[in-house]
Amino acid sequence: MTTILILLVEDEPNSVFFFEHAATKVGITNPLRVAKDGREALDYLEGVGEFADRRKHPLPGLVILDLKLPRVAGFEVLKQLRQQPETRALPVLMLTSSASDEDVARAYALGANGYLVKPSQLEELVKVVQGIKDFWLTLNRPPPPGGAS
Amino acid sequence: MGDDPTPDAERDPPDSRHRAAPIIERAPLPIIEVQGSAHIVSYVNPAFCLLLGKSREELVGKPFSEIVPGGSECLPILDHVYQSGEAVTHACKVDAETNPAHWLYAIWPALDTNERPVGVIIQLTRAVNFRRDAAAINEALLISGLHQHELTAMAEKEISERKRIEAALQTANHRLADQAGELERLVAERTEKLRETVADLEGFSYSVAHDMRAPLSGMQGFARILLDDHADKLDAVAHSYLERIASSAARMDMLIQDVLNYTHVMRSEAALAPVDLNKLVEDIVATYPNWQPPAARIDLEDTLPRVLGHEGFLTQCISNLVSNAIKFVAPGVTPRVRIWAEDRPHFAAQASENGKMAAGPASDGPVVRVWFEDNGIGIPPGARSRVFRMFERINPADQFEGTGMGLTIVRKAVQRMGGRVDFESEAGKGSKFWIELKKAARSSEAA
Repeated sequence: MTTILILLVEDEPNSVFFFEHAATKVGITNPLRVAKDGREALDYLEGVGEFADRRKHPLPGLVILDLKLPRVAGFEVLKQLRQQPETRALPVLMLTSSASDEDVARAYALGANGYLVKPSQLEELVKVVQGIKDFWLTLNRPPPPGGAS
Repeated sequence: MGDDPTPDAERDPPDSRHRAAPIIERAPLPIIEVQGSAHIVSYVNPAFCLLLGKSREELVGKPFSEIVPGGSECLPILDHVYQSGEAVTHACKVDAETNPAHWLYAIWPALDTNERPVGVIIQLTRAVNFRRDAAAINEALLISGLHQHELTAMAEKEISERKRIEAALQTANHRLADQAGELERLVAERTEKLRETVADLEGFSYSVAHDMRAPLSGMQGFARILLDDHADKLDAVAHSYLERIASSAARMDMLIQDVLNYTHVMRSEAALAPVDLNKLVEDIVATYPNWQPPAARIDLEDTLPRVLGHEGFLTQCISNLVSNAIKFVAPGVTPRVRIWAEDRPHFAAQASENGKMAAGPASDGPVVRVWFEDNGIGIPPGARSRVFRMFERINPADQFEGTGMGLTIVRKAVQRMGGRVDFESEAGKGSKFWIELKKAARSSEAA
């Protein structure tokens, strides 16, 4: 298992809590940072303002992104981070309660690497997080440091 | 002009005109003067115009034979009067009209100052129910003036009445047109408003249902964590309360999920496309662990055809129908479901067969009925009307979990695909639900 940083973009405190809970349950030990809205996520990823120090705020190796977010919506975050050289190749997983085909299609069109529907049951969420651990944190090889060329 | 007589007395007889005109102009008797051997009309009085229903301009200058029905028959008499200077009466029957009548004539010569005939004056009247003798002619000619008078007064009255009615009618028509336009505008306006309201309401219920799920999963999640991870710190009572919180939240979640499913079926575009029903049923059955043996047995008999439907809607229908079939069994009974298809007459043919219109819209193509037969508890006859109603539950909630939405969703989805749904059942003997759908063309024929 790699020790990449996970950035969870999620405004709902319960959802953050349950994700962390599920991550603990399945034994994820990776560092986890939380951005409470789309603006904060972009600031972190771009290293702006309080996140300017990359030693304190390193680039994540995986972004888990909600769609319905305050300030800047999930799709806009995805769109903007795909335009930055540093984050262009960054694996981004959508984790949202929306199961609509329209949203799924749009997410992939904007460059999402995966789309997960947020289950309402904790047990189901644990399964989803287990899947994230097994594939994205274990089997998958992340892009090398320095981003994509 | 009267003091300067023209030499050509035949064509322009000023004397007769000047003598006759003031006297007979206002007579209530229809009087006409003709001149010359061709008997050209030189004068008509207003009563005469009224009798023939023509203006003076239409009559003056025309030969007499052309203006009065059967006038040519009188020409020898006119010639006789013109030549002899005698006055005569004459009755002439006209059969050509719808109601046969007699035209009655009093004819006398117009003489110049030298007592020579320069024209012929005719008093004319029209009589129905006329007996043909001299006395009758005279009588009729005399009293015609009175009739004429009545006729004039009546005609004027009738005309003014007719005009009044016409005007009133026109006003009413205008008002009606205005009101119809106004009504149309109102209807269009209200329809638009209603459409907006319905769309708002649907959108509202969708987002309410959607947003309600987040706090609900909070409740469920924390109850679950307490039960899983902190059970050792809870006594049995606290544990059972937590279980109740969790199951209430789970039930609420099911309800919301079904409301979402229902609004989804209502809101989605129901574009119909060929769907391989056999594959779809197999796929759906495979996704439910508790539908597999030994928990349950599902027999998919024969091969279900391709139907014209909507995959999402069909999935809702099949999973709800099969889930009901498996759920509603007596304790200890292993659920067994049989699914098969049967060709049916067209919807239209069925409608005439039953003598009433089917619930779904009429369709032309071939129809298939898909049966879902179970070995469950059945539906008592008294519950038949409630089965498809929203939030209705036939069986107690403590025995059979459910939202009372499943069959409501099935019915809505089937309706949106232009099909029908119903069932046959007897309490204790299981149920046979069916849905009817339009058959799709064979895959080789499909575009």
